[in-house]
Amino acid sequence: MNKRIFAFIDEDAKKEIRRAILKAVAIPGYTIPFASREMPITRGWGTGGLQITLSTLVEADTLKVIDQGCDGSVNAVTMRNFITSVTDVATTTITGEASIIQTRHRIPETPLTEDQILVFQVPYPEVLTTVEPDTAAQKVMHANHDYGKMWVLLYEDTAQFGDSRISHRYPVEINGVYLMDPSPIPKYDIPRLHNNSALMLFGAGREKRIYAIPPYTSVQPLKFEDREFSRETFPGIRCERCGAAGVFFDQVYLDDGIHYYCSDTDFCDRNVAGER
Amino acid sequence: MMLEIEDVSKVYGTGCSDCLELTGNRHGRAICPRCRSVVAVNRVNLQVGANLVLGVVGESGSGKSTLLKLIYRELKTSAGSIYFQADFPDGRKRLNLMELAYRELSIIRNTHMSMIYQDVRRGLNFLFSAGGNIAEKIIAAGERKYDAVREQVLQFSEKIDIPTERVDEYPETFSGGQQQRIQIAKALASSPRLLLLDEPTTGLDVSVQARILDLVKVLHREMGFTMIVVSHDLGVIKHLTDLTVVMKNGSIVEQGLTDQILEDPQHAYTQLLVSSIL
Amino acid sequence: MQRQEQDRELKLEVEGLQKSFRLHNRGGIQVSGFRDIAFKVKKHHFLALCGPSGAGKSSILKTIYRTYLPGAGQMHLYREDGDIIDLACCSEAEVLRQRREEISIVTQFLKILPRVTALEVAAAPLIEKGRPANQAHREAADLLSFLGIRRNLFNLSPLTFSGGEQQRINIARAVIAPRPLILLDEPTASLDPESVQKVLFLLQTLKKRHIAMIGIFHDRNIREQISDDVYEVRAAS
Repeated sequence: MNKRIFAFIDEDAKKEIRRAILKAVAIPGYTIPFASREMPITRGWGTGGLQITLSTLVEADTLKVIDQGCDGSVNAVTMRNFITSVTDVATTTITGEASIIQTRHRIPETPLTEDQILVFQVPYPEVLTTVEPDTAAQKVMHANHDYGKMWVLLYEDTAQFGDSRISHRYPVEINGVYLMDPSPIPKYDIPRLHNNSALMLFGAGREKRIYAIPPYTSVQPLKFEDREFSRETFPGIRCERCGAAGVFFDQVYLDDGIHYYCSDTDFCDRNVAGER
Repeated sequence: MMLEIEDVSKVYGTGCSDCLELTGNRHGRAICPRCRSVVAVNRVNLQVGANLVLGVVGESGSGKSTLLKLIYRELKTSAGSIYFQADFPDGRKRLNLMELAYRELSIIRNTHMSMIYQDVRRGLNFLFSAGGNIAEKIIAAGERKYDAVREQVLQFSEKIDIPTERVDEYPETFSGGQQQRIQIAKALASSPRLLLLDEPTTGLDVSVQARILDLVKVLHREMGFTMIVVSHDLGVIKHLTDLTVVMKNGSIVEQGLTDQILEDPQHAYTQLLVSSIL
Repeated sequence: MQRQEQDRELKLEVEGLQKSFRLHNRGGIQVSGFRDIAFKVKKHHFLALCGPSGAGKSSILKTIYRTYLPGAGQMHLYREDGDIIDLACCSEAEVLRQRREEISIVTQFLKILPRVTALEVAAAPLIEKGRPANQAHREAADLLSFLGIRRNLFNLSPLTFSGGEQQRINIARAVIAPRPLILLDEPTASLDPESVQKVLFLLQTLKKRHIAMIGIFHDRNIREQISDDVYEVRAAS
């Protein structure tokens, strides 16, 4: 019993997950059901991303795990520790050095390359749930590109609040075909999905779905033709640690007021190290 | 002809080879004595020309609502065809509604044909605002500019006498009559060529009823579309329609000009119906 | 069918027209309405139907308008565009087209929607013909004033009016954009003598505009003032 299976998941299960991944890559934006194995962490805490990472990793890979841009948060650290305990792959915090990056809710500031895979942890894979709870009806709507109700949501937000109220999980259209939930990344990251060089894989363990955006795929946020897609801006703000501007910031509330730091800790570290 | 209904039947149940022959008004029953299937619509033939207003009257169970559902393709016929003629970007087409795939049917329902239900909850999405409901049809018909959608929503809200400042409120905050008017605006927001109304005023106050009927009449005159109104209320039929079809036990017993049906009914059942008007 | 030379003046030709009613709910008894009706109406002529009450005069008008289905006979309508239509056997859609283009009927009773104002009722036929609404309303106002309807009634529903006022609204509606054939069922029955004269004046002007009319007047004096021909309807046995 000392001989452990590489990457925790048995080979038959990996085969099933890899097949789902292949199918997802072949049908960009379409959610593929998969069996979602028991993981030694609770469902809803990143088991979908974890299963994709474990099924995709090989010995030569270098792994990076981030939680909202941070390599050091509890979720990222425990996830990374678990993966290395079952694989012995090298790990890194440097975006450019990683071959597989598992992420919770952010896309790194450093542009990705064709040699990289970005694995998203997804809580709610079905973009239509907010307007149509019936899964059978959702399927029919996807099959027929019938997204009128999502447009109504957008219309109502624009009518009542001047713009979409959706700050994260902003609906995107993949290749002009499927509407997709990009996981709870901020609107700030949405343009990065478009025409990205890296393969992006999405795993929802609790909801048992895998989907993908292959490299260089068109990804457009749902928006009216006469309205601009507006993402978060931080006018006049600089990172108090590295001095960067124009990136996505974490707001830290302390007794003496609000402080701003880069959300992407690796990006911030590179700046401090003077590599930029 | 905009709509041609050819030998259409709808049977609920197992059905047998004699169902249609053994039921219908001639036999005074809609249930097949051999196989106990219900023949809701029995070999109905009907043609409706553009811009006409057709009424369908009959008692509960006469098959009139089923006929309307067949036209809207909420149900499929057991036998027969329903042809719908309309102009499409690539020319005029005569489509058999029974053969349409979901997507073609969506296009028809989003741009050519609308249904108004007695139960507003079937026609309105209560999770969306009044304006959102109207916008849904405009967007479904292909509009992707917010300003254009909003402008049309406000226009329709004025047309149906809903204050524009209330247009972003949700359906449950409106009265029954207002909800029905919002449903009408939603149905007409895509400028359909055919409007189907299933008991549009049943269950509303008499005064509210009259206002709804007036609104439908005004919009019909302004926008120009074909209407099929199903009602058991001859007052509604008299108010709205040019032509009337009388149904009983799934078959058409009489059809003609509405004033002729009301003043010179030929069939015994129609005479009974007309003489029962309060 | 092409029009014969001698028919150039003809508007409506009724032959062998008959009508009976079968009352299914009274054991299927047959009630005779009228039979063997035959007459011709020329353009710019007024044909008066006379005869004892119950002879079926109103029923004849309703049959021409196809509110009643004819039992037998022909009713050839000579349309303004030269076509000839047999109203006795043409389709319902054809009848509706004739009602839009060729024939209107004025009954003793105003049949309109509640909540529509007098002005709107009178102006509607003009608007249907494509006249701008404000112009149509102005013309309707002039006509209603001529007929002695007080201005403060214009924006009320005629259903609240007296019988005589309603009848004048009814006439205004028929003459404001007149169809080439107008059927009048006792249009002056509840009018005062002054209003009667105004209505007759309007009908006379219609004749000059080549409008054919068939009318029923109980008052012999009125009938003689307006009619060019009289057709006697005998009571069906």
